[in-house]
Amino acid sequence: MKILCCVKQVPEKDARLRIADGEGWIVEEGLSFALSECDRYGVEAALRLKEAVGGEVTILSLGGERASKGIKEALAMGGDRAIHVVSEDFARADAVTIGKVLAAAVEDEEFDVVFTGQQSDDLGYNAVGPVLAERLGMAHVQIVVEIEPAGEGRLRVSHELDNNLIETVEVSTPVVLGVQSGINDVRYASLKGIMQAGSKPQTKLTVEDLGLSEEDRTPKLQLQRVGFPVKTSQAEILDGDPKEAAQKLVEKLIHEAKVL
Amino acid sequence: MAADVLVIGEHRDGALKGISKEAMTAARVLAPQLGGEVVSVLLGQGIDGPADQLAACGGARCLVVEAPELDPYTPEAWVAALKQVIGQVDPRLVLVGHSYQAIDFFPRLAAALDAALVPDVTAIEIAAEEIAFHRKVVNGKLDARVVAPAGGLVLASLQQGAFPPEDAGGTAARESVTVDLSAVKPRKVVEIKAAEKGEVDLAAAEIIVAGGRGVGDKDKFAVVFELAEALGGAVGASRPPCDAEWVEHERQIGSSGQVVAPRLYVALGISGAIQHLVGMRGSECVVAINKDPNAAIFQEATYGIVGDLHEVVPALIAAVREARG
Repeated sequence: MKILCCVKQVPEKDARLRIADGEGWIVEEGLSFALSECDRYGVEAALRLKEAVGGEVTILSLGGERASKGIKEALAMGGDRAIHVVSEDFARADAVTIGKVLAAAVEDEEFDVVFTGQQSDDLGYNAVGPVLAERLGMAHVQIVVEIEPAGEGRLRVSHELDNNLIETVEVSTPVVLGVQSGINDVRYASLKGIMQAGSKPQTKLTVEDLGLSEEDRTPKLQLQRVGFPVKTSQAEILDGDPKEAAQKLVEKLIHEAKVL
Repeated sequence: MAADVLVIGEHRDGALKGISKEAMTAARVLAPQLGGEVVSVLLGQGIDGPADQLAACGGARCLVVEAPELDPYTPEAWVAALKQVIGQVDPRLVLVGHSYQAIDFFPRLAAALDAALVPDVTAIEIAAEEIAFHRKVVNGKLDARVVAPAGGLVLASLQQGAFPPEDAGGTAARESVTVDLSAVKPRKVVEIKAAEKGEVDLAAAEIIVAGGRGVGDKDKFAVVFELAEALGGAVGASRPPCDAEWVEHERQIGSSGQVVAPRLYVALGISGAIQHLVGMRGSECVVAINKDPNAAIFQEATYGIVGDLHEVVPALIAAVREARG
């Protein structure tokens, strides 16, 4: 089975963010980056499917040069080869444009199953998987929490619906699966995996290489500015050392809020 | 004309979803600014009840599309039907609540229409011909302003709770619309069932102490249980500790867990992702303890302590025990 797994390298969860001059994005210099959380579950799901049915896992990432570190992490976990579409700008484009770029990078390959993380930690679109599926003429399932092979070219997939419901569907390959966090226990890269990652085949492409029309390469939306949110309401912050703050809090809970 | 706002309604168990009423409220504000009207659409089979509820949310027209292929929901049938509806209505802006179902079909619809897609929107401003959207980025820590240029179809899903529903003051005329779904090859729905609830029912708890990623690890999560015990409350969690199996999944509070409304909610090391907030916003008094002063949870909280929870919570346990004798 030919398996593709899309990953994105994003600022680490507890990174201290600073807004860049011009407010177009954050200052990336000095930040630590990691694979987006859902993407790590996606890589694990891709590797498990390969282990169950055989085949090859290709890692695909769109991002600036720094994204090669995230690709290496996915290869160290067990990916077989990688495609890196090198672009800083397109990694922050709108979801439809990102989906078009990713689709153009792999449209000749005829993958059977494509994994994406359900949501990236940076832009949080929850959307690139279905766009990719539409562009590639594949089925898709979002918010996937369970995947089982169900015979030749079939998968049985459970995914989350609203109201805490889980729906199980059967889909034919080719299919794009948006993997929810918590779907599996993500493996750590072995020492051997880390050693081998650097020598696995990697293809680097630019967006210009992909043969997209001028129109498809024109983002549909402009990310005009980012900033810390204007606080519409704010907790009463109780200061002091931990003991003082804790005593103030208990006072407030008993006498002001009257909830204790 | 390409100035109308089309709202896609969603329903479950014979009732219109609350998030669809929110989308209608947003549409009624935006449509006049765009110089257009509000049109709503509901898809399914045997949906008279929710269609009446959607029509009661106002707007000029409420389109009802009924076909056997539309029940149960599949993205294939919905995208095919909505493409045709959008072709007929020719709106400028299409709105839907940012539900899990919308997350499934809406991006594919945008791609099929080659339209702009703005997911999980918290605010919308219309200035001249441009439409500006606000949405959260980088783990919800930052607000981004995203602009759709003049002209061009835009699809936006609205964050739950961002557009509080208001009375419509009028009922839309219902219209039945037919679509051709003969080419649709939908996925096969095997079953729909409730996620396993387990033994923990937090809905009745008066006091809940919940831990998040910031608690650190499975061993350290014991402090959440200790505080809950001191307060006489129950233990909950945001999604990350459940995913990492520090605690049982059934303790999860949020959009894919339980929805709670205790008198006192204590959030330890929880940053305040929207998926968590929708599960605890009904709480009477919220206490947040987090080391990041910019954490979104502080905007939801009544009282906050900025600091290392592993220093603050032991002191808090001592203070509670002392106060209670």
